[in-house]
Amino acid sequence: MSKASETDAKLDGWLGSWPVPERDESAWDELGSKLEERLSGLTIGQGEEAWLEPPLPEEPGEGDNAKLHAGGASMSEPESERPKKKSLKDFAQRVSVAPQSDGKPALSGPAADTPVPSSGPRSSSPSLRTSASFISRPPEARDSDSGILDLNAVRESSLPDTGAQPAQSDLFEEEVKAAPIPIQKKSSMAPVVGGGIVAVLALAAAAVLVLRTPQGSSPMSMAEAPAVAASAASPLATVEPDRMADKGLTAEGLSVATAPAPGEPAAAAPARAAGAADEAKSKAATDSKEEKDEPAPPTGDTKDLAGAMATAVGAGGSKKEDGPKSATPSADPGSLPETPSQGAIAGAIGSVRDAARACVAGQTEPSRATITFASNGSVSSVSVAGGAAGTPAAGCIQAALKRARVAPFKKDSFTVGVTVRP
Amino acid sequence: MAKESDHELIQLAREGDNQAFGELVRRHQKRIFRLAVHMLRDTTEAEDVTQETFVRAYQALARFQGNSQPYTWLYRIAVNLSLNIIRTRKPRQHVTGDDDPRIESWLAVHGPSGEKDPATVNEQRELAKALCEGIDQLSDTLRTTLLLVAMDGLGHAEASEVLGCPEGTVAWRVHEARRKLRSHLSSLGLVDEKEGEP
Repeated sequence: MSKASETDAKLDGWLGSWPVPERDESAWDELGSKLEERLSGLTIGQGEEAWLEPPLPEEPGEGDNAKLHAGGASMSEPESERPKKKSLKDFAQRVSVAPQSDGKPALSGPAADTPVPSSGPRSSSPSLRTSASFISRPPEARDSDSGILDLNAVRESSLPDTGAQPAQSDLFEEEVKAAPIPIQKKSSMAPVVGGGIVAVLALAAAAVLVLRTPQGSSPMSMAEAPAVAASAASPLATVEPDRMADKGLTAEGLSVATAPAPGEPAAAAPARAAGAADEAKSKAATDSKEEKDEPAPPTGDTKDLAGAMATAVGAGGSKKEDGPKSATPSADPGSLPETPSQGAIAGAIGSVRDAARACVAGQTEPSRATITFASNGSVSSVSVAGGAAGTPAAGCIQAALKRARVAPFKKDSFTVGVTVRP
Repeated sequence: MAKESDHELIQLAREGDNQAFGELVRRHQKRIFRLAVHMLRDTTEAEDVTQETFVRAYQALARFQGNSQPYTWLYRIAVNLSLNIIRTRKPRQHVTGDDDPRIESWLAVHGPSGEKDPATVNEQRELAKALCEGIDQLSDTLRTTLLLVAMDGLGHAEASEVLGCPEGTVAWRVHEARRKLRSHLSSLGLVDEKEGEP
């Protein structure tokens, strides 16, 4: 035990055993009889409510530390800056929901409700057995080129189905029932076949365009053709936006594949991925908005692939040069007003006036409060005069009015008077 | 009458049973009085506050909603009344004297029983005086919270009901009050403490 704790224990002992000042029983009886006399002439419901109000003003600094002792946030890490604990759970739920959108049989019961860690579940875990079939094929791997290998698919494509079962096949019996392989094969092969067809068509189109393009045209055209073909050959990349939209998937579902940086806590990865997803979404939204604002690109020469690409690149380039339109201008210290505006003061006072009025409910005389704002816009002091002065209501008014806030200003302080009427 | 809970007594008093309210007074007047003495450092004023607390409570019986313990409600009224008296006093430098009623009550328990060893009596008197000084130097907010929790034995939840603030705030105030009191006693050499030592 530390010395401070020992002293605290000693202090608690001293304070806790501090007796009531000596009084005879007759004195207590006398007090009781006096009280009875007074109460006999009183009626219930005639008192003032001020005595029932919270009595004490805030202690300076207690707002910052109260959370610590309440077992809340740590001092070095405010609540708002913490990664949301729900993010991993949300992702797990998204994983367990994904097969429904893929046309596969939906799971019911505990397996569907069980959150599954994204790092890969233990399929031997009883609670996860029924969900292991689709977990082995992560939705990210189906919808994007995320680099996640589907080992089951590799095994199925490379080995003939001889009907032989692995030594521990009993572990997977339920998953075989839950997710029939033919359905999985059908849905998993469709994008590949479709992508192959698209790739072949794209190659053919590129060849035709190259042949039709005059020799003196841009030398980039030959170099770009394979790139176009390559992008077409990647079916997941080309069909992804539409498919994702159809399935209700978002960029958030894909961003979890982002690996944490070395030294970064594992828990930070989902938050960073979610942040990246948000950024991507906002960027996409900004881009689409900007596209609406810009004039439509010329369409007369769309048959020329090189020209179309140049147009597209040019448009994209101009977009980038424009920069984000929503950039927040930084605050210029020189632009601060000398004093807060009347509107700002009225707004600040108005936001706390009701709370202050509640403090003097039941009183008849109005109270006058003088509020002093510091240059950073916060209230530095409140003094109360009038009816509430010297009563607990004064502290209540002070506490209420101290919550007022205006925008920063140049002067050291600014004082306003407020009348608080019951 | 002694079997009824405080809530039941309040209900009976609301229905016009003055004896029920009298029982409530008998149950809690000593605690209220002790709190008032430690807040006001004056037995006469503390007596007035104790009496006034029950008068105000009686008048406000209809507004007691029953969500909290009746004694926390009484405590709130007593604290409000005590603070009102403190604030209406003329500003003066309070010096803890030997006639402080708190010191007398301390010595009644911690003083030597039987033998009258002047050295021990003096030692206890000095300790009580230092404790009183340390408590008096605290702000109203810290002092009241410390009195409720450390002296009266209220839990943080009950103290938060009395003071109308979150439990975490009560915990912080008690911690801060103890730290200041420790520091005061340490400066007088009454406790051996090095600030910040684990």
